[in-house]
Amino acid sequence: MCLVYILDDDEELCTSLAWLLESVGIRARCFSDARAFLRSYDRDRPACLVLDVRMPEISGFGVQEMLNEAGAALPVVFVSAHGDIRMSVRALQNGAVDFLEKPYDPQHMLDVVQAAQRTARERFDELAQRRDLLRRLDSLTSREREVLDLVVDSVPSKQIAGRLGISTKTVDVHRTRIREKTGAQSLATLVRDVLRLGPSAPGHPTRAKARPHE
Amino acid sequence: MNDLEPADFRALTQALKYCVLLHDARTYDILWANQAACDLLEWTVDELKPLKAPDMSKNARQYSRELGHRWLGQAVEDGVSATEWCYRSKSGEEFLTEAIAIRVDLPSRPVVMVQFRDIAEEKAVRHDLFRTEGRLRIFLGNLAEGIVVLDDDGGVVFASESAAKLLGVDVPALHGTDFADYCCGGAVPEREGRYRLGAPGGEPRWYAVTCQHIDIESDLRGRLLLFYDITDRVRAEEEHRRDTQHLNHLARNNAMGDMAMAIAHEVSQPLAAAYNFVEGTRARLGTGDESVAWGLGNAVRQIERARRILGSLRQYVGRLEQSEQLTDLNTIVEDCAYFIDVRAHQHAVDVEFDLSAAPLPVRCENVLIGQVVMNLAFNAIDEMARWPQGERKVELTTRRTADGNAELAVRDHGRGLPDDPPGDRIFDGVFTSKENGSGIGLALSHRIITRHGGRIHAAGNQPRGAVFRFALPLAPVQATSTEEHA
Repeated sequence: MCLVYILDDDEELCTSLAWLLESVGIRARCFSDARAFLRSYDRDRPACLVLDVRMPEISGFGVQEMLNEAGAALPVVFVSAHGDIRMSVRALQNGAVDFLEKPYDPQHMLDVVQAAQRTARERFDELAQRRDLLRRLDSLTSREREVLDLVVDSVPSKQIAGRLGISTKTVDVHRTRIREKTGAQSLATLVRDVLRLGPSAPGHPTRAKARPHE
Repeated sequence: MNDLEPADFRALTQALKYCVLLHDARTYDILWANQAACDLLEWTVDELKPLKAPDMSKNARQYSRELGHRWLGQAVEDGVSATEWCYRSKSGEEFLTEAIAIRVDLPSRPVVMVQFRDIAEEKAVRHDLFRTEGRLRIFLGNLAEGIVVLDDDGGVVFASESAAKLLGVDVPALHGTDFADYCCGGAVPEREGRYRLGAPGGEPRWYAVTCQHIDIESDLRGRLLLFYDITDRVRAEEEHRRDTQHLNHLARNNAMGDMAMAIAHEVSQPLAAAYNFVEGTRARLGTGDESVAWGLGNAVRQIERARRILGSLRQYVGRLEQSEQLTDLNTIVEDCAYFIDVRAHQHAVDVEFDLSAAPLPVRCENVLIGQVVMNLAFNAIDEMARWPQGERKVELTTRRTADGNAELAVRDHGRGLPDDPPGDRIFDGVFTSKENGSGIGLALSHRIITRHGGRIHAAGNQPRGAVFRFALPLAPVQATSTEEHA
């Protein structure tokens, strides 16, 4: 079940939204303080966040920034009592899934939250797969990683052998070892996962994807 | 003292301060001179006798011997002849004199007696006077300040040319008239101040008037008014006053806008919460009690209404913060529509909006133009409020005019325009309508529109009522397409 966090300094508004969400069976947790939310946010569970823009101490944008820096996958729905176009553009550019102006239509909020939950589930699954893939790739030796990188780049075995100064036979041995170690059905599925989930090696540029603010 | 002796006469003659010369009536030779003449001319009688005109006159053509003879001859003929004659003394000093020649028929023979006196000083004084007068006349003629002197009844006893010019009449026309006819309000100024003056039937102008009583040697006495035209200054001050009022209005508007925004923010929170609670409750109720569902449904509708009000308010206030920009006149009217509808609803007036389908791009400060739209609409609504309910109709239309303007017309079916002031002067500030605090007045509307390069005017509506229109120049089209969606 995908949890919905609500972060708004107006406690009664938090309560009302939780009451609304629970009426359609969505579980929600209310926070009126950004730090309290950040402390108890559980990254290991799929979740989304309904976030107020204007709050004392840390604004909604500040919270969004911290989550982005931490590489959190949780989709954010912004709400504001005085939203303007500039504000919503900024929120969406920073990865928010939606921007609602208070007082919003509750039915619309339900639709938006449900969509955010789907997004959360997808992102969470993808993240889990990526973590799994990284864990599997971690078991490879550096030579095996070299071979895999070339395979991913569609370099034929003969040329891999030439580039690395080893025999074609040794390349085949590496390929078999890679498949066995990562528990992949075939090398082709492994290559597909690497291409789909992005990062294949530590220090690979695609890792920066999770940290858009640097 | 009836019988004077001849010796007495001689003594008297010699005591005369007037100079006397005796000429022969035929030859004009000098026969005798009295003591005063001898003293002035520095000759003895015997020395004078052989002298001719050139010997004892200023060396000038008009004192020639011939002209001297003609003068004396005239006296012989007519009995008396006067002239101005410039004599010269033995030492060469010249005296301009007023000389009168008189024929006297003495028992012995006819003679011409010339009496003369030195008039150089008088002449000089008169010349000075003449010169002073000439100068004064020129000064007065070019004076920007008008001068009039009034008698106790306000009748004009003196008027300078400048006064006549300022009042648009000529001096003779001003003389003797009642000055009250030239004073707006009919009261003649009695103390220093600003007054409106003008010829009857003409356009009065503003004058600064000073006032004092004069009494010049019982010749000219009464009230002296000095006045000069300050119409331009009065107008500038009026404009300044209006601008200040306008700025105050805007400042107030801004402060109100800030407050409205703050209130909108504060209210939106509990409203959102209430909406959530109601919807959450409705969902939990499912297909439960029908009357509860009905009540909740109505609660939702009321919350929706409050949301719309907040939305309109935000949109309107949000635009307060923007200055001149490219916008659509129809959008401005739509922004104002909520407030116009509220006012119309209060007075049960039916307002019909007929906006052009084509866009009307204009470059303007849309808050100000919005103020004008509301001002005109509110005026029309207030006017219709006094009519029977079924007839309370106001129409707002926008259109693109043939000469490339975006036009808004507000039409009512009320009493129409007042005859005084006439239609086109309704905007000049004299006609300030009712100023009940909600509108900005026609004068300000006029200034806002003209400052945007537009026109505003009022006309009668058929069969009755008034139409107020303003037109703003349409913005170039290519600019619209790039900025409209920015």
